[in-house]
Amino acid sequence: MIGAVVSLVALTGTLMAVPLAPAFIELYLGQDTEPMPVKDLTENVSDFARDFRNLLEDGSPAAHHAPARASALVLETDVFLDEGLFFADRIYAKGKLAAGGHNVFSGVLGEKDIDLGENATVLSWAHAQGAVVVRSGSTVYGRLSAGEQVELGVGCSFERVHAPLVTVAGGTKRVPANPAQPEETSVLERVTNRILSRDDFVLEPGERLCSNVVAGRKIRLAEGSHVIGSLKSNGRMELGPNVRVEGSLVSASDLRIGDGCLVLGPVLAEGDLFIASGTQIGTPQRPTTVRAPRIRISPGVTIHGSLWAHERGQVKD
Amino acid sequence: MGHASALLAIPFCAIEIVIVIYAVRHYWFTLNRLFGRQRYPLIDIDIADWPAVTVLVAAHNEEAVIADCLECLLHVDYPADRLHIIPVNDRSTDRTEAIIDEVVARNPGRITPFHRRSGKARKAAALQEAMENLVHTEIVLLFDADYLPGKSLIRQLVAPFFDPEVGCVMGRVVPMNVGQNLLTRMLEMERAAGYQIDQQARMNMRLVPQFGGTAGGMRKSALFEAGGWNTDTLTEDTELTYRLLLHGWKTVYQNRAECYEESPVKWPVRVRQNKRWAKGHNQVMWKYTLSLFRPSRLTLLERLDGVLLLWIYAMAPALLIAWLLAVAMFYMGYYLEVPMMVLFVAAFTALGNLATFFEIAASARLDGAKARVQILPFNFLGFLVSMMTCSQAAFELVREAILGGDAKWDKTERARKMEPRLVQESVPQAVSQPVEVSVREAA
Repeated sequence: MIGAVVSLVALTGTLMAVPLAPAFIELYLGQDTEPMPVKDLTENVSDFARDFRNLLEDGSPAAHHAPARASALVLETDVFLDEGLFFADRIYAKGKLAAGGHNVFSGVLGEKDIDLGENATVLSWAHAQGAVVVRSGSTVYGRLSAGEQVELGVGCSFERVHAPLVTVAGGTKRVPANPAQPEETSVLERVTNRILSRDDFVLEPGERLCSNVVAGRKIRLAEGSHVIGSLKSNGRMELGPNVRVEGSLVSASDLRIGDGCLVLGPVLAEGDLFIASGTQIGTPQRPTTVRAPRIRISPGVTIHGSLWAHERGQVKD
Repeated sequence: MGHASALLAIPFCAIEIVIVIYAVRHYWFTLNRLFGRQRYPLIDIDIADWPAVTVLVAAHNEEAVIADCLECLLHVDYPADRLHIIPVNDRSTDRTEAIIDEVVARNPGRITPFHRRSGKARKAAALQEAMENLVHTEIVLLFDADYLPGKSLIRQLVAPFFDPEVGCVMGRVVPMNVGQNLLTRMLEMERAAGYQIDQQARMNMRLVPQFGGTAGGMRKSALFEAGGWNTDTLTEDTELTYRLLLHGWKTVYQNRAECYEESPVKWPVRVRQNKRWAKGHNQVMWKYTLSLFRPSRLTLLERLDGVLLLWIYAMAPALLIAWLLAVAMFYMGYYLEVPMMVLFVAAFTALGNLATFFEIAASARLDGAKARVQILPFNFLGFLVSMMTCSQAAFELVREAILGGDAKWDKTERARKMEPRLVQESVPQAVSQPVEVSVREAA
């Protein structure tokens, strides 16, 4: 009888302990006790290119981005590539690189200028120390960067673009009548007052405002208006032609920037972002960031800094 | 007897309904993080006209850790001419002042020390004094002395201020002393759930992310518009979150702006910390619950989430009371079979020091953690301890409110015993030598 009770207790105890066994084992062995690694977001858009150069120079896959595979096509002089080719290996061009149409590149690093040709496809990244020209109909997946300039043609698709100067071919470039004066301090510090609007906020044509604006719904800046400050809309935001904003634009929805506008701060939208012809964002002295899930830009747009479409960026007329 | 026990059933069922609401909330947050659309609207600003920023490092008897924090800040990826570092040495009686002065001497012109030798106790009072006298920038970031800011952290925390609606920013806190004992392992998982699930889900759903008083920052104009630091509360960070919210400022959470901190390694330290948080949080709850229902720009969801967040620490004593009521009703012969079953299930899924077990497991998955999730059953122990300490804190608060008395502020003791490797990774190589010295001193 006693044996049966002991057996029952032992069996019950065992059955209760079984689900806890992994906990006790992990507590005893301590297999996963390292702190979670914190993310280092210091990465630059051209890190892939930098890692590739390190790999070529000293054979070390310098950073986490670089694949261990070291095969590369090294071009020692200025080269013109024929059309319709597929380059599975990454290309390192010491001179200028130009290509015919319909080429597919895995990755391209150019020490001078790169002209990818029409209807090209870049699968991972492209970087030039000089300028990169992406001609019409091309698609660049991943990162596109340049030490001097990136020029995008009509019909291009892009994801992440960075250069001191990003231009879109065609259209009319903006020549600001009153170019931005370099200020000692950021507008974020200079303008600290704000207008809080529960509903829509509208600035009339030619009106000038020195304040930050937060609108519960839409913001509409009419033609020729001028804001010294930043704007946030929780609905759609629309800038008419020739509007000037000396701060940031943040929209929780869609954002449409009209013809010939000048925006000096970051431009961020949680919906679609449309930038019309002749608009300039950032200045050479103060580059900035343009970011949205979907971006559509028109010919003649100039951006100084980063252009980042998380889902899809397009150049369209 | 039957009439009396039926009366007990009313508060019992009321508490139960509230607990079920919290259970639904926890599942809602977790499912949102696992399957919903994630929202990081302000995270990818890599280039901008960065504003000048002041970083305040709150330090009260922090000789074990202050040097590491300052060395990390000296090597962040932010324009040096726009970064003002001010260690706020608040009436320390250990070597904190001497260590700060050593770091200042090694880095002339980079750090402005503020040695506060008298004045009202509490972090908020020290910060208020520093901000009134030494801070001349619009953006102010805060760190506790045991934090090790990574290279990109300052930019990640400053970036959201380009949105003029943002008054306050909170980053993610990651414990670094995970493997020290069972407590640190459990706390690491609870912390991960609080940030990875709760905070980010609130961000996704445009609710009320909470400012945690460290690894975050604020606009100076927003702070002063809302009345400055409240030096009377034990949780000035939570209080500030609500004051800013009611003044039309948003708090945003940056899940990828991560910073190492040190978790308590002893149960008594953890209990005191938890009691302080619970008391302070409940003070804020009494003060701001009604305010959330007054006309303002807040959405209905923000009001609802704000109230639920305010009442979270009150759920521990509420659950305890519900259990006592259930026992009393049982012995009085009044047994609500279904509601008691519901309470039993809801209690174990809704609470657990700001995180449910489901949340904890989900956050471990989101973090890519491996074997550590196996110790989840032990978190039930942490849940029981939290429930008891939060209940005790709530009852003490009621007693103090009736009989008078001031809530005591307990500093969280540091016990840094970090592997040199981790310090080396967090602190730049160039300054590893002095950091090693301070670690040895701490050990």
